[in-house]
Amino acid sequence: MLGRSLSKWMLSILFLGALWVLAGPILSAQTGPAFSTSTPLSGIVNDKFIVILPIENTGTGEADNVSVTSATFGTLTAVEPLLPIPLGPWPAPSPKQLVLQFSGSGLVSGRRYLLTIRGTYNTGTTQSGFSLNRFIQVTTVDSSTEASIQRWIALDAIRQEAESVNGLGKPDAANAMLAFLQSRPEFSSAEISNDPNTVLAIMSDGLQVVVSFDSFSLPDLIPAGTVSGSPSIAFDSPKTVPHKSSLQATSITTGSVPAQKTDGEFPASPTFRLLNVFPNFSDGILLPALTSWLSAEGYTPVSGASASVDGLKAMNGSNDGIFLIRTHGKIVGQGTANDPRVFALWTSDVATTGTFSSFQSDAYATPPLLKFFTAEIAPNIFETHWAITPAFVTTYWKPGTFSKNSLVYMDVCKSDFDANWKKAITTAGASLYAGWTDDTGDPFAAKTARLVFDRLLGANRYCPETSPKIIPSRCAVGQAGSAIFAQRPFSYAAVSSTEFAAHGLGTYANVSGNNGFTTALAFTPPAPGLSFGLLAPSIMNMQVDESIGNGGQLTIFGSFGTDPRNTGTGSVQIGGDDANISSWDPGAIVVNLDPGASGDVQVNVRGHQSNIAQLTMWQGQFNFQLSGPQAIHETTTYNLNIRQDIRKYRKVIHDPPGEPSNLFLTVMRSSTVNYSCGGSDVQTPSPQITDTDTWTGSGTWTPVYTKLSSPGPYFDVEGMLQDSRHIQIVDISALDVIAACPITIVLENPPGAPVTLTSSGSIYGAGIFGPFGLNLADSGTILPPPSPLQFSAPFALPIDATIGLATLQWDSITPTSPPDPNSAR
Amino acid sequence: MNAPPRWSKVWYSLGGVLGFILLTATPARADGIAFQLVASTLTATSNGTATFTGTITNGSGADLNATDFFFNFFNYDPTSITPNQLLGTSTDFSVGNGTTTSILDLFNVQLGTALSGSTFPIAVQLQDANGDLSAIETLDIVVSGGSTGGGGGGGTPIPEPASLLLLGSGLALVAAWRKRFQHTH
Repeated sequence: MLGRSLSKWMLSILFLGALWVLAGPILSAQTGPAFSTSTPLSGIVNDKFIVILPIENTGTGEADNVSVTSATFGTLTAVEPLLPIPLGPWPAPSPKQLVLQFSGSGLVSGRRYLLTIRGTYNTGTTQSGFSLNRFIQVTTVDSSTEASIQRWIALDAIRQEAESVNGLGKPDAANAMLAFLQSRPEFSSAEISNDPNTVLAIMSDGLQVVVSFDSFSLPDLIPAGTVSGSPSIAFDSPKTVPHKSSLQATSITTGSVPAQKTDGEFPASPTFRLLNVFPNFSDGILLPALTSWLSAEGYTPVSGASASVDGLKAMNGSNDGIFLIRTHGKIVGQGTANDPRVFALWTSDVATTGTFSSFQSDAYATPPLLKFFTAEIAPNIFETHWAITPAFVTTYWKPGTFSKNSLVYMDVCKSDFDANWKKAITTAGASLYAGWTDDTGDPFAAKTARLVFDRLLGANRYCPETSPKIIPSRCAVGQAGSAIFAQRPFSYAAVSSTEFAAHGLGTYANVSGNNGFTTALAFTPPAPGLSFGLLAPSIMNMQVDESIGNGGQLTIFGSFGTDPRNTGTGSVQIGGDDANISSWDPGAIVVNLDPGASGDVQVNVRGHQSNIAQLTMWQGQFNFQLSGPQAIHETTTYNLNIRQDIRKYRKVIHDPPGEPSNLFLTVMRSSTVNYSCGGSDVQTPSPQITDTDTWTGSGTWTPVYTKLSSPGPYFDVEGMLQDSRHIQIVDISALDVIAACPITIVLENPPGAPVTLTSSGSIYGAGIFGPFGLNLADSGTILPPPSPLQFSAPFALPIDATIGLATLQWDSITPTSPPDPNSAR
Repeated sequence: MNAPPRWSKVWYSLGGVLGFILLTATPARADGIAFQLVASTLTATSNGTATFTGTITNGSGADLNATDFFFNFFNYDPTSITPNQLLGTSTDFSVGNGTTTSILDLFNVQLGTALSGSTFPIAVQLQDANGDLSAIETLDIVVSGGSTGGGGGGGTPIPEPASLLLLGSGLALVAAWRKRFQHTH
């Protein structure tokens, strides 16, 4: 008993102890930026005490507008750099590095002094202070350490000079920087690159430094206006109803789907990696938006994606389906044999003593895999980062880094310029490469990226289409509605050829403001064997052929990529049910319809969903009433079930959807005809002769889908969808009316001696009537005729050949799954 | 043998889980080094100084000196207060691994001109030369009226939350033992 009680108390203690352990971090948790220092590189060089101090934001939030306002070492104040030192935005976790110089006089070697760094930063609109302390021992340094210290002094001098001359504008700033570098002993050479805004310097130990004077602002320059050329709303005008034989000739059959122009494939991998090195300096909401759009289309983000050097190295073999990076990029070199033009892409890694230890072998490689790259991180705040080169890509990104039919989008200045860079990317597996021919910047670049991804996905979240083709000065958020309609996914080629010009994005040209500066997002087409086209399946239009199979066949035209079903991830849904796919071509999918299938049609390829198209169905009663001579009559109810895609649809990107036209149309197999014949006609051609003709019979017919050539218990309806508002029924044939409704002829000659005959002859035309039209309301409802339609009905009774009258009428017929005005076309 | 009562099973199960947690939990950054303040809220007059005293615990795994410890401050109003590290500035001494110092002057906060009754929070984190970081503590300096303060670290020490918890645990334990003793005897 005592032991059990003791156990209980021990467990109580354990419980309280665990609570204490767990509560500590929770109680002391702090959100927001937090800063700490790392081991500095320091020593006396040229009578100055130099401190190369890495500082880390170890907190949980970004600090903005960071500035160092004081730096003291013991009682000394830093003599360089000039205070305050602007550090700009500071994400967490990430390092920055200070290069501080103090007068060496009065410092005692071997003694520790307290270094104190004070400054301010913003979180939101609140300004806060920070104060960091670190004891550092004063030491003399060997030649190797001194050289290392001199490197960081030189790089910090570049930063200060860049901030000093940046206001001169381009290209004067670059020229001033060139003169500065040529005056510094740490550099063996320096040159203005082929890009007059970029300087390349070679340090005495061979390390390369790129200094870029860039612009982050690239506004819309094309003013609002109207694109030349007349708008075209309808690309197919309704045509006259062709002859019946030609209608049948255009009917669709399995295996005879006309060849369609294909837009290309979707990425084989569903993963995407979106990187933005300076989210707060550029459009910070672009990547969250693209992430949302891509995720909604079945793509999945790569976890842990990073634009750091190690993060980029880790991409090797990752099989990315979509890759996008937003960062600095520059071309350096004069373009000669000994000084080729080479692209350099800025990473998120700040050049620090710590990263230098990790990356120096790549930086000293020939050709270098990494370079120093000094550029703006905020207006007039420069920072030196590591930049990767084509050699880096060749070394670290092996084939398989990008998936088959992948999209690599470099939202980076001059990213389309270096053929070796692009070759390295495509060798790593990229299918479609998108890059800028010259400099770019926000908001123009971000808007262009939004437009590209929106159109490739059919997201309809940005820059809705307009009619006529008015270019908005700013693309709005959202989608177009009826009658322009949201837009289905289109290929990059369509986006490039049409959408850029239509919306004033993608190509930037401003003669007056920038001396003829022109830049464009260029697409390098996939290499043979690869075929990126777009990012989601796209349904253009559909056609039903009721004559095939047990329930008819539906052909879906659009862009669907190569048949994906061997991987088990390609499907078509109709009304929420999986359809039986008969064939799958990149431009057309044929499915065998279940009897009665209708509703929303959607194609799924590896989890990527197409736009939704409606297969509309009507189930209506058409009442046919035939009145012959005297009391002869026929009453027939045509229960006609019809389905077709009656949506307006978009053949060409940006153009408003046009009318469907001249689609052969017949009735579903569930259609029936119920008939009943009756009445008599009594004629007395002479006083001695009485002729009584009596019509009887009733029954049900079912439809057939070949031209009727002989009577039978079936009927045939042939029609055409003229446009989204008109259906033309060419004719309805029911030849069996003769056999089904025999006429009994009773002759009395003389009266009281009847002779009865049963006629096999025709009494009523050919059992065919038509044509007539069905008008559809906006809702898709088949409207009733204002008054019953009338047809002449030639009768051929043995004695009483006459013209009868037939009428046809119907009530409103509401469809199931009418076209959705909000669906993408 | 009788089966133990059902409540005992619950206790044993609970104890097993908690024991596991206790043995395996690694409080973030709190294991290596830590500082304990005599008071986390001090008063000082406008333009005065509040000095924070406390102890340093070295659990870094290596012997360190006082000058191997650095106080970092952030999230404070830079126009009103200025923090200064005191630890290691006047004398250096060893802080052996696994030891806790006596109560020392750790840092002070100089107040600028401020209204009486104002409170200025400041976040403090201790760092050592090896890069170990303590938990972040948020302290308050309350502006008092009257003459300029300075130096004394005035005000009544206010125990830390974790200390409160430990204190409460101990009190509960003592009370429980007393109760059991009374029942038994």
